Amino acid sequence: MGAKVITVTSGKGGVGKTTTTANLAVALASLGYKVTCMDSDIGLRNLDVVLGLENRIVYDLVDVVEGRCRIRQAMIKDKKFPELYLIPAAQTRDKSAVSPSDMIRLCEELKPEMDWIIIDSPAGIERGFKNAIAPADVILVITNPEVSAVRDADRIIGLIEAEQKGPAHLIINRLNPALVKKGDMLTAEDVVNLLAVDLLGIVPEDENVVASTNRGTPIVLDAHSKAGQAFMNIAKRLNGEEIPLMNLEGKGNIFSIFGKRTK
Amino acid sequence: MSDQTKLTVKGIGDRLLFTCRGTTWDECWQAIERYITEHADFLKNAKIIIDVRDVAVGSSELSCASEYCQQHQITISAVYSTNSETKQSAALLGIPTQHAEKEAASANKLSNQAMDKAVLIHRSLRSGTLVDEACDVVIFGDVHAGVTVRSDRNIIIWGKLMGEAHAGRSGDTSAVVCALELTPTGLKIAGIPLDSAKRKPKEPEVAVLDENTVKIIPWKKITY
Repeated sequence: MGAKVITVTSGKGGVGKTTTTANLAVALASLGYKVTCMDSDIGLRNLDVVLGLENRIVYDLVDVVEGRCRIRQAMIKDKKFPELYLIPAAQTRDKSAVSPSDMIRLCEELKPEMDWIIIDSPAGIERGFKNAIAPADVILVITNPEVSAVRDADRIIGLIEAEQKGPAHLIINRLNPALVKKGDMLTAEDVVNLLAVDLLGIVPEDENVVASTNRGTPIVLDAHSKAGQAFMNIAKRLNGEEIPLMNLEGKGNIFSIFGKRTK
Repeated sequence: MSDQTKLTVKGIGDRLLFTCRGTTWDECWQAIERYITEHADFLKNAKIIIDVRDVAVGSSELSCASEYCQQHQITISAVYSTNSETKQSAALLGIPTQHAEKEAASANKLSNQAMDKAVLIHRSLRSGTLVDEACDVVIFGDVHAGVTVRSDRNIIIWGKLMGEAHAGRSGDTSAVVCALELTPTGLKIAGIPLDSAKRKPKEPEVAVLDENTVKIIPWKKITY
C-alpha cells in the first residue's frame, strides 16, 4: 500500500502551517513510520529551518521537477529519525516553477517507498496553494482562534470543496485557555461552529514552540510540553487512533467531541 | 464543427463576450484556449465573459480555465449560463453569473420571468462565494461571512446570514431578506443599507424596507 499524502494549509499566513507540518512529520516518524515532508512554499522556504536541516540542502524541489537531480538526491535525511526525510523548496524561484501535475507525479514516485508524505502549503489561494493540494489525500486546515484567520480558513475550505478534495480537517492552533476564559478569544466550539468541519485537534499556545522552532527541534520531541503532546495526539488521530481532545485547563476532558479517524 | 463556428467573440463595453456553441465544456474550452493562444497579445489585460449556454461546467474545470486565463493576464469577469451546475461552479469561485448590462438589456423580460422563478441552493456558502440572481434566492444552509448574495427579488435563508445580502437590487422596495439568524456583515434592500449594529437575534427575522429605512422584524409578525 502506498503512502498517504497530507497537505497542511491555511489561507492566512503565520498561523502555524510549517510548525504543524514539522511536528506531525516528527511525530509520525517517532511512531516508526517512513515520512517525507515536502516544502511547497517556493521562494519562501522555512520548513528546513524548523526541522534544523537548513545546512544540508544540496538539491531542492525545483531541481527535481526540472530534472537536475533524482528525487532521492533531493531528500534530506533527518538527524534523529533515519526514516524521516525533507524535500526543501527552492528559495531563488517562484511558485510558477512547479505545476499541480508535477506535484502529483513526485508524490506518485514517492508513494511506494513511504508511509506518509506531508506537504507544507504556502499561504494564499493562488498557484502555490493549488500545487500543494493537487496530490492530497487528506487536507488539514490550520487556523488560529482569530476572526481573520477563521475567515481565511473558511475561504480555503470552500476552495478545497470546489476542487472536490474535501472534506477538510481542522486544527486550531495557539488557543489560549486563559484568554478564552476571560472571553477575549474565540472558543474552539465557536471556531468549529463557524467553519462546520471535522475538528482534528487543538494545539494550545506555548511559548516553548518559538524556542524549539528557532533551535530546529520540533516541540513534539518535548514530552512535557502541552503543545508537543497535542501534536502527537493529532498524529495518532491521523493514524486512525481515537484519542480524546486534551484538557487544556488541567481537569478532565473539556470537550466531549473525539478526534476523527482518517486512516 | 470547427473552432471558429463553436466560438464567437464580440466586444461589450470594456469586455469581450465569448459565446460558445459546443455541446460539452471540453469542446467549448478547446475553442476558447485556441483563440487565447492565437490572440495572446490582443487579449492581454482583457476582461472576458464566457457564455456557455446550457453546458455543465464543474468547479475544478472552471478553476483550471480561470488559472489559464490568469497566466495570460486575462480576467474572467462573468460566466453566463442557464445550467445550474455551471452557475454554482462560478459562484463557488466568486465569478458573477450575470451582468448588470445583460439584465438591463432585457430588464422587463427578466423581471416578468423572475416573478415565477427561484434559485435553490442546498448547502452552506463559504467565504468568497458570490450569488448574483435576478429571481428569488432560497438557501438551505448558512451564509458565512465573506459571502455576497444579490437578488432583484427576495433572499430567503434557512440558516444563518453572516455575510452580505442585497435584495431588490434593481429597485424593488417590496423585497425582503429572511433568515433563521440574521447577523449580516452588510444588508441592503433596494440599495438602502441597514444601519449596522451588532445583533444577537433569538428568533427568525425578516428585513424589510419601511419608509426608506431597513427594519428588522420577527418572522412571526409577517403576514402576506
